[in-house]
Amino acid sequence: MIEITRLARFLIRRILFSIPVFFGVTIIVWALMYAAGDPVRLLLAGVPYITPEVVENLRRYYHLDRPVWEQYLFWVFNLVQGNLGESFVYNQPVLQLVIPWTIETVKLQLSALALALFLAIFIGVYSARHPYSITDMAVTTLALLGVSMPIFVWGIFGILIFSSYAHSATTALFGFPIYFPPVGAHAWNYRTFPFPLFLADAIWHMILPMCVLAITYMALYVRLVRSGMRETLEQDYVLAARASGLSDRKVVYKHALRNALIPLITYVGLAIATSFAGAPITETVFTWPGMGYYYVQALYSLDFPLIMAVISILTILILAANIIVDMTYGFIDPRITVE
Amino acid sequence: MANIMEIENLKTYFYTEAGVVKALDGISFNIEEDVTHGLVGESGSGKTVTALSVLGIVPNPGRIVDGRVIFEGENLLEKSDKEMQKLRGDKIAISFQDPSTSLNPVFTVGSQIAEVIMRHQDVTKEEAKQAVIEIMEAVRIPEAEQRYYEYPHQFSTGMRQRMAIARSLSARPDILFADEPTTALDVTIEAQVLNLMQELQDKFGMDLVMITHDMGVIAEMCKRVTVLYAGRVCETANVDSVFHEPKHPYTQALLTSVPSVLGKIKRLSVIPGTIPDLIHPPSGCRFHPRCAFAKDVCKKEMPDAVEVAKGHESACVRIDEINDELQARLKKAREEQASD
Ligand SMILES: Nc1ncnc2c1ncn2[C@@H]1O[C@H](COP(=O)(O)OP(=O)(O)O)[C@@H](O)[C@H]1O
Ligand SMILES: [Mg+2]
Repeated sequence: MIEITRLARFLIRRILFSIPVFFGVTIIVWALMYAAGDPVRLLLAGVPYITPEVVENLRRYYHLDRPVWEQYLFWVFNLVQGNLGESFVYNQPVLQLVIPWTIETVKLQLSALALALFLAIFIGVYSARHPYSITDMAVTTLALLGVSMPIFVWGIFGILIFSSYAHSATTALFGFPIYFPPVGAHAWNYRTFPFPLFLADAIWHMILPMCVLAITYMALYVRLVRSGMRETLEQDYVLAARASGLSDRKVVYKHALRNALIPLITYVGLAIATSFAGAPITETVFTWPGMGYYYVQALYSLDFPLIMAVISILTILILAANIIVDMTYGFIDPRITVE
Repeated sequence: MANIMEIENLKTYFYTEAGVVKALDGISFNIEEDVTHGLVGESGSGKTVTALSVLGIVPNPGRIVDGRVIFEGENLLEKSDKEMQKLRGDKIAISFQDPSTSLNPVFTVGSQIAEVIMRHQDVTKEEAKQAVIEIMEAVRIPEAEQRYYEYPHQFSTGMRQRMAIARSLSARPDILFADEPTTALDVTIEAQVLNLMQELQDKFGMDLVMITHDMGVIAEMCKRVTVLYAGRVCETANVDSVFHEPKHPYTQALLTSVPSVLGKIKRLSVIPGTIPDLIHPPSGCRFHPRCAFAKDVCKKEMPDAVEVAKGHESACVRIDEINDELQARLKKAREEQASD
């Protein structure tokens, strides 16, 4: 009972603290967006026979004739009512557009993160238990490469090998191509697929970007798990667990790993934030129909409502991830009580 | 008297970057059945490594390079890790020196003890929990039922030590190595824990090996004692004879560094010199650089402990020559202490 009320208090407080952060971020983006240029002129670029009245009317239609602060307040006023406005370019309610993109982004980023963590734990534990062995050296070097090479380099290598080369090699060998699709999250006609096929198709499309992302994320985790395990494996409680006859698996994966994971949580919180923020690059490389990809498109056309919608959702996701991570601390490390 | 365990020529080395640390360099002694055995020596003499070697859990970069540990007619050092897992905790247990680090901070203490019981006995979770609560009561943890669900940091140091002992006793081992169970505790709690150990020993009928650097604890708890110095055995004998007539200069030095039994004034006659570097240990008898009686012969060969009186083994090659002088010094030092 006490636990639950404490948790509720923690949540309410953290959410209240997040509100000013949210408005801080949106105000800054709003200001930058207006400094960047005039969307009406971009919209009308190349359209012949535009009279000044047309321009004026369009401005008035989008409320662009009002002072900037008034427009922002208007946006907030609508936001509170669940209305994110209409896209300049798509002429559709922004919310309808953004929801499927958000799903694609979250799906890709979280699976990549989960895969990275899963692999990093096994590799990191192995490395920690066989320090300076050949495998350890190889893995540590690769991990260094993973951190130091940016995602678009890995992405282009991945596409080159597993899509392009795989396509031509398998065609030559078997007469038909087997390759990972380098573009998109679904086949073009996926809406007609029955559910099992839909799922298989979605997974098939996700494999390449997910693995590439996982490699770049994993690098850091392998090093964190390795150094964490090197430390916890030396602890008295691990020796004590071994002394009481527990199996090797229990000693390593329960007693040592659980403690080694504690510092990792901080990084997972950070990683969730950076992975959402980094989505524009990944999604551009893989033409992935997520928030990041369309965000870049929206920036090109200065589609103000769309830019703001994506920024709002990203900010909320990152703030939520931070709250969840802080809460996880309380579960994984009993010495920390969430306050 | 039958032996429950025989340790023969045990050598455990640590292969560090600085060189090979000869933490144990051929130690031998027997642990008799139903006799509380003490293992005493300064810090760094190899007491903990002895217990870890017996259990086969010497941490990296340590290796057991030679020797035999006979238990129930078998050499433990020839057993596989899987076979040893069955013995650890179940037949041979150890309780660690520092209770605040030997319990895993992220699991409840109760579940950590239950885990050991379930590993070695065919019981359900609920039965294991009942057994844990019973053993928590045996080590006098109040409100055991509630405290079962608490984490190590929620216990006081004294309680944590008792819980750590409870864990090592949970599967009812035949022999328990208690590694400095009182070092991390203050004096009042120390007495409680020692009393408790004695009580538990009677209750569970196990053999106890008391590891300590404190001759006072040996006097109080043990019947037989082995004195270690720099990875070698100095002497093994009954506690009475060691206190009345030690047969090794190192033991004599240790004894005179004990505060008088009355404990009024703690005047420690510190042994001159420091414990030797175990990568490049002194030649011959390892104590000779600090020994008041050392002669050339002491530098030449490394002496093993041999029987010099009935049931009394000593590793001093000059013991017959120096015995009178040794006892005289001990007597003088004790008189000085008493007169303070
Ligand atoms: N992990 C280790 N690495 C290197 N040397 C060690 C290690 N553990 C113990 N030793 C060496 O073994 C010697 C004996 O240690 P130990 O058995 O812990 O002494 P104590 O009698 O105080 O329990 C120490 O002097 C130390 O040099
Ligand atoms: Mg020790």
